[in-house]
Amino acid sequence: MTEEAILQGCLKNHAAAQRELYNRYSPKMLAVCYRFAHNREDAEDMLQDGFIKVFLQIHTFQNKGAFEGWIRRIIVHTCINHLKKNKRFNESVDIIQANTIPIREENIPSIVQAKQIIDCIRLLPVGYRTVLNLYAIEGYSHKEISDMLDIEESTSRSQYTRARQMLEDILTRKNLIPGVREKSDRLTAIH
Amino acid sequence: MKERIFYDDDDFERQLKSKADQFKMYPSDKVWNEVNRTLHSRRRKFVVGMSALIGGFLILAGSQLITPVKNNLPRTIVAKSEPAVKPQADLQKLTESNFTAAINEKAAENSGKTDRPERIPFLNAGASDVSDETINLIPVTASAVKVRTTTPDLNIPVNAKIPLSVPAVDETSWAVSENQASHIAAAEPVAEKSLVRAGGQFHNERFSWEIYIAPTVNNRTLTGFDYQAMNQSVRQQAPIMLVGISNVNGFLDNTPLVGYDVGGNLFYKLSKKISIKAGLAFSYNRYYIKAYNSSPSQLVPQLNSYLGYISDTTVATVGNPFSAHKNTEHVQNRYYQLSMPVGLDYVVTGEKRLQLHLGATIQPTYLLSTDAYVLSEDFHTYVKDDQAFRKWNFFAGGELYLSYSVGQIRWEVGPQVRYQLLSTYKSSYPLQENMLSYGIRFGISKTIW
Repeated sequence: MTEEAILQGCLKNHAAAQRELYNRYSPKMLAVCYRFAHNREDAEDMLQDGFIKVFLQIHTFQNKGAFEGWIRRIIVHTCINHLKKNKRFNESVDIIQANTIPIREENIPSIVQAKQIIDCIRLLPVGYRTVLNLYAIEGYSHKEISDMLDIEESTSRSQYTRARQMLEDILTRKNLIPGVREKSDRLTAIH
Repeated sequence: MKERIFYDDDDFERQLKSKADQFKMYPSDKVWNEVNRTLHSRRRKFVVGMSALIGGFLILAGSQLITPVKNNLPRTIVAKSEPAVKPQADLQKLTESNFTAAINEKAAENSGKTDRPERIPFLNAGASDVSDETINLIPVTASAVKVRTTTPDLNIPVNAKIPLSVPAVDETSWAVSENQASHIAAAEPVAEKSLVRAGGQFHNERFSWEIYIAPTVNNRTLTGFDYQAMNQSVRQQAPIMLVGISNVNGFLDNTPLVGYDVGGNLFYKLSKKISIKAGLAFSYNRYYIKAYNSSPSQLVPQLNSYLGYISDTTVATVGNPFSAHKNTEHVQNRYYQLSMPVGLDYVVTGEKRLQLHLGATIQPTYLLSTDAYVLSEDFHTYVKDDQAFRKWNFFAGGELYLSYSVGQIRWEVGPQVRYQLLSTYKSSYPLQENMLSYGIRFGISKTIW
């Protein structure tokens, strides 16, 4: 089924088309949710709410960009709303504290590198993690992030700087990147 | 999302994104089950709710037809004058309101005594100068009874109307003195009127139901076309007839078709002539569009709809006599709607058996489903585009009908008209379509209680 046919079917509220769209994009979108969420269960809740919004708002999609990008933006906003609702977003920590956060060794697999990165990101405090996800992975600007999270733009910048520093530290401690190399070489090393 | 080029100057972020995007997780089945349930339970709830409502109404109507409501009142009421026991001084000030109140008060005191023939007291001038004679037998269906007195020397009304529904009243409490009787006589017309209004038949028969079906003829009018407002590229694609035409109806070729309305109403009588009514109705409206068949290759490039995507179902060009296409098609536009008419019914004229009614309603309407085409942006093709249609709308309805009473059922027949007040299409669509349907309505109605 083509994307156009799926879209048309979803516009007509056809369950088969909706299922097709869900099957096509839910694995990627669950990964997005998982990066924001506290655990897999929360991630699935976010995914569920996000897809309901996708189907209910699908008539607002205007073919101006990629369909996947449109879905992804809805999912990301749903994740942010979940975090705000659960007040977990405020659980930010100082960078000094962050350095002392114990790393859960058992959560880091050694084979799948993408999952290694994701799990390291998920070790970050939720405030750092959210800003890092939004800025580095989802591509939002600090201005947009400040609007989404109701924080100052400068706060977003500082949170990101600390988040990145902390992530690098975690990756180093996990021996996923060498600690003394130039930062541009670090992730290349785990390819 | 604003443009931001951050991967160029930071390889760390680029690689981070690259790694993150490679990651996939497969959700459990319950996620889809919940999504699916949420998306489709609304429609299911709506359909179940409406079905229950309509089903309940039809069951009520059916049960009323098969087993009419039993009237607890006796077939006859014996009105009888009794010896006076105590005079009531305040009858000197008898007015319409306090007389009515007194009747009602007595009725309340004696509620529950209506299962058997009762004696209705009559205003008595003296203790013993009115005989014990039964003064009238009244059929239940009559709206009022005549009461006759055997006391010629008193100016007591001889034609006072007594409502059938007045329950038994304490027979000892309605005696008056001779002097008081004259006051009562003077007040007689008022009392008569009050009695009828206070507890008369129509008070007991305020509610009634009605079911009807109406074959209708449906058509539409299109407005809102503005050739000058079309952008240049669209103008170039548009049929040549559109140039200089301000009324798009002149360009399109529509043919009315027969549909139907079916529904039911509940009436509440506000007065003898005016009732308010509310109900549910299902409408099936349709009309033909004349079009020309065309090959898909000629159609596809021009099918951008107003809502930002390309529709997958297309039909021909509109009725363009300059078109090179030759195969004429009659395409049907069908609408399935559920309405909730609320309005007034007025008895223009007529007696008990034959009446002429005038009705007017406003009808909030929900579009259940469509099988309809809309014009594409360039007015060159028809496309199927469910999202172009407004779900909620309003119709104005009117009917003039004759009703004829046979037994407990009233049969109704007369013309009706419905006009759609808001456009069929959402406001983002440049044209406005308003449906008009007219037909003959056949119905039956019956008093409930």
